[in-house]
Amino acid sequence: MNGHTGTSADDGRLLADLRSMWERLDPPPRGLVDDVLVTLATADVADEYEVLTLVSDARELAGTRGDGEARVLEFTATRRDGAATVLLRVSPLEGGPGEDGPGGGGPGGGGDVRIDGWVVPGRAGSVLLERDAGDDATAVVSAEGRFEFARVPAGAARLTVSARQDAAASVPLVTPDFEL
Amino acid sequence: MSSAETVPSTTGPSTAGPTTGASERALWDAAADAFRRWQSGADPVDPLVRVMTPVLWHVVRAYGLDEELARDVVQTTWLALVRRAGSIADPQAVAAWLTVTARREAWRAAKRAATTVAVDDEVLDVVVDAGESAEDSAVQQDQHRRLWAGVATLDERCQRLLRIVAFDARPDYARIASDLGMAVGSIGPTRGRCLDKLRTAVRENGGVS
Repeated sequence: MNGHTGTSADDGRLLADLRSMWERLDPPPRGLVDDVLVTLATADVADEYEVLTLVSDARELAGTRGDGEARVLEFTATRRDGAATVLLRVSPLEGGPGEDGPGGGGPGGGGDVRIDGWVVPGRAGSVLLERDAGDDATAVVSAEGRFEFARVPAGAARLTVSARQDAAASVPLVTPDFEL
Repeated sequence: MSSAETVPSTTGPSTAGPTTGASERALWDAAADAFRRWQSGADPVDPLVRVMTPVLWHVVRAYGLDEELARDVVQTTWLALVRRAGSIADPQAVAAWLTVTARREAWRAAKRAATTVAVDDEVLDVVVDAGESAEDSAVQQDQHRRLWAGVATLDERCQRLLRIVAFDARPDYARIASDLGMAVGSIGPTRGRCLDKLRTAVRENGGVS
């Protein structure tokens, strides 16, 4: 190979030095572990969910994406702090291997869909897409409440929307199962 | 190619390659232990989260995500674990499962963000000012600064690869290769070249490594 000069022992030492350098100079933010624990605690307790109700399932002509028809699903929940809405636009994708980066995809093919979602009121956080077929996916929810899954296989699924832990802690929103 | 460059698998027996320090193996074992105790109901999930969150942080940051996005990716990784814990048959595999999941999420998030936000020197200054502690000798602080400056001279692929292998006791070479758009067989040699470049950069800055 191209003249790598370090020995394994040298490399091991240098990597250990790098590890301690990053640990010191770019440590996890304060409170990250606590945030995670709070999130998991809420995720663990079933009655800490707000279960959303499907209020409409309309088809619309897809815009510029794909030739198929997109579906728009609307879920709502009544919360202590007012109503919450999750809107999903599910657009069928062209066939082809459903490769969403390394380890993504799966069987792929013509059954893949794209999901554009909006949570109202918007709050930064994360959304977990669980599929009966396994291979869950997560996406980041922007401060405006936008999220997207660029390509997921069709099938039964449900979403859990969690706000990032902040002063106004709120419980996760869970959709009932729906067909993609 | 030395035997140390054989490709470790995430689920196979522990390959004590050059990056696998005793401390990392101990961490992997601690994670397995904490996972077992959590699954059996003896412990809450907290010990596992405490052990693995720092590792996940560094793995995710290797993808150039800013702090906010990196936090989210770490959180969603844990959420996925809680949802999918039942699918992890071998507790020894939990650390690998977490790091692979975190990397996959980070990769997707980075692709979505489309721009990587490099941590710049300004951030470093703040961290160094805030992070000085008695346990850090002046020599070590100096070495860290020189290493940081040396890493900053490397290309993005080198930076990412080194940070991943520095924190991942059993890196999944196949997946790293596809993440970085490289051939699996070239990961080992590339790692070596990146380390050499780093040595040179640090030496030229008057350091000794």
